Amino acid sequence: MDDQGIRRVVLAGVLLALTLLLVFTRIGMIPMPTPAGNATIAHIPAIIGGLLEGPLVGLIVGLGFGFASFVNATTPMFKDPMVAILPRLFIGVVAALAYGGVRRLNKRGLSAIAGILLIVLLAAAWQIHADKPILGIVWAVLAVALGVGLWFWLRHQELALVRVGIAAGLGSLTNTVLVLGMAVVRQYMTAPVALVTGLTHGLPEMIVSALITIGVVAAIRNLGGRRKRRPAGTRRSGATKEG
Amino acid sequence: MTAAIAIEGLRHVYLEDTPQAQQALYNASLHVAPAEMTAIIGPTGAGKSTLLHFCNGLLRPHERGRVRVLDQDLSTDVDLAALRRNVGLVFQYPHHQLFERFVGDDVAYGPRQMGLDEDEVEERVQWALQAVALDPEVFADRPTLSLSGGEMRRAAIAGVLATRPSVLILDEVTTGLDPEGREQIHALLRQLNEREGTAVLFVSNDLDEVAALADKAMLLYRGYTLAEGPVRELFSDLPLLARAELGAPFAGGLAAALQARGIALEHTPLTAAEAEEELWQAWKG
Amino acid sequence: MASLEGLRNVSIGRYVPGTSALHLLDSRVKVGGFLLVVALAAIVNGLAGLAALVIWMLILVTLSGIGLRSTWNSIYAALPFIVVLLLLQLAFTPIRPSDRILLAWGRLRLSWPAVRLVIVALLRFFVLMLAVSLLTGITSSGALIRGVEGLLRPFTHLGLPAHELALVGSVALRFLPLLGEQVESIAMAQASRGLADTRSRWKLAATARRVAQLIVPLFVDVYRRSEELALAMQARCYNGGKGRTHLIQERLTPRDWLALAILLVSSALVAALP
Repeated sequence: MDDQGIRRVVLAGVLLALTLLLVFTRIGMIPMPTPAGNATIAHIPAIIGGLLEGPLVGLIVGLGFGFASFVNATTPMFKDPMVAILPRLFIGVVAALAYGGVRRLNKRGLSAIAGILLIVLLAAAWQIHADKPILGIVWAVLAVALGVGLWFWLRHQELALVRVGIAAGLGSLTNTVLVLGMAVVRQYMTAPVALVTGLTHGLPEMIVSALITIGVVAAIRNLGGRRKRRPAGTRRSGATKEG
Repeated sequence: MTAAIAIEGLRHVYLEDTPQAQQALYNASLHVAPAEMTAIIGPTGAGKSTLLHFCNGLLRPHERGRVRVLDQDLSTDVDLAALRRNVGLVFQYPHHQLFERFVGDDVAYGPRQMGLDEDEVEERVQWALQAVALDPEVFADRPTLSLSGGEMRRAAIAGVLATRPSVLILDEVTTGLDPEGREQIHALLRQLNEREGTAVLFVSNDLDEVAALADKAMLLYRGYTLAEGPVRELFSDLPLLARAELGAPFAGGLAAALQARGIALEHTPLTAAEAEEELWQAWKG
Repeated sequence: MASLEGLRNVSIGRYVPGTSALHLLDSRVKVGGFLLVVALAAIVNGLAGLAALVIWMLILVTLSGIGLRSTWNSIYAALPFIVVLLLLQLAFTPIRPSDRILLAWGRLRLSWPAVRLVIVALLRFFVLMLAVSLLTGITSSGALIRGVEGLLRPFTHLGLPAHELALVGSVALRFLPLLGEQVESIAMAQASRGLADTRSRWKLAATARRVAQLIVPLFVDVYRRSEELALAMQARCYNGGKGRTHLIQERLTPRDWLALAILLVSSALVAALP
């Protein structure tokens, strides 16, 4: 086995241990008042594994996460291997692929994607507006807020970290979408309930995953960021992410 | 305030009532006077670290034992945040204590938690880094991960000093340091103790270090306090130290060895310097 | 942080040492049997079949002597949750015109297919809870790894890196207690610097931030350790698992073959039930 292989094996093992720790000690779970129970951060090692060392590592750690959450589960929904284990295989893989995908893109490319996303969301808002006006307006406002937020973020953040953030967000989204999807397929929840849960859980999880992953990768690769200190009277310059 | 820390009859079991229960302390006592340097000595596994955790409220007494820190009884409701600003605890492994990405931020953490404004925070950071002999110009903006082991240790101490605690507790802080590093820490501790009046409590396996630094010592063995008192007294009781599975301090051991050969020294020396003096006196006849 | 103390004693499930017939089985049989039961639970849809599975599991658990106190406690704790979920399921399963209606009360109608669905879900749940408790009860963590590796070994010829996967598992097991200690250390160090360790429940964002502050240093430390370990292994000229010998060799005994036979026959029976 070559050096690269050894690194992969070891990192997978250590991330797996971290996943198990997060699942079995409840650190990785933030209780939420929804049918799915807890908002999780235990999927982040899988994301990081996929991001740093590729889809295979992501797959293995994801499998570990699935198995751990299966063993730890006390509700019928999560005691179903199709819901607990199968979807989780994809978390790391998606993160890896997403990272590979956006790696080539520079600021223009990423801005373009953000722009397209915004347009799609606004179009959806228009559609919803036709049906339920208030919901449509809310949706549109959120979309704009998201767009503006993303724009600012892109301008100020280190490019490499933006890519990391996107990959992490997508990885987390995979977890939410696939797990809830399976839950619906296996008839543990109805589609509307799943949608609501997805939005309540999924968005915060996505943001938290992105932030933590960025923090970790920034610290490991020593990218971006400067001390938080603000000398009196001077404006805060440039950098953002804290360790 | 009579005592900065007063612990009596303390008992502690980790994970009580579970299959993994492990008793760490059976009957421990400790008295730290303000502006004094006190040491805790004892073999590995004696429960020294556990005892330290009681001193800043990480562990609370529930069944047996009294813990009073800075005139507060820790079995009652206590403002832990305030307590911890006044009782600074430096742990054994430095890399676990630095959690911010940049050294300056880590040192600034305590003062920021105290709600000081940015100017004062910055002042404290500068002061703390200088106190531990880390040049603020160089180190404040460095990533914590880029520091060497010794530097990390000092940065951790700086972080604790930044809140200007009246009690400073250190858990084996010089273990593994080279002699120069050790000297720097000793000088720092002495300075804090003498100039700022900080009570210093430290755990050490190095009896010579204890002899050089501490006024009083407490001997902890398998969760029991075997003895507590002035260092000189404790260290002249070599059988006691042996029973606690501790070797003899250099000077005392030397004196005992000489005595066995029939050369009696007038006073039991504590440090190498004292031993030299005693030997000289004995030699002169 | 809820409890700073227990973190270093993390383990997968609860291993209960013993000498029952089940304890003495080869790890591969234990893991393989578990997988079989899980597959059955997923596939079998008949009420009789699932009920038989539950009974089968109960028998095995009794034979192994591991006791069900903790499993029962966790089910008990989740009971309200489960009840709510099942009620929701009952309420929202769409009713087709051909379905048999059991109960009608005003606008609510309870159809047989809906009830059946709920019963099936419940039975599956019990089977899986029992199966997991059984496996983790009779198999120590190390044995689990051995079992998985043993089962994967034949697949090496198809290109599956069984040894490497087993190594991943071993590294994970080795690091688990270390990470637990580390989290404890970091949490204590942070707590000592003025971070109050009582959780204010209504500030979800604050909790998340606190968790993040704990997790990021943990991750970074973890990454560092993995680099160190990788270096150490490279220095020792580790070159994969081909031809590796093992310290503990497990051999299949007649007892194992008997167990396998019983397993297969029972599975067939269960699958055949309506």
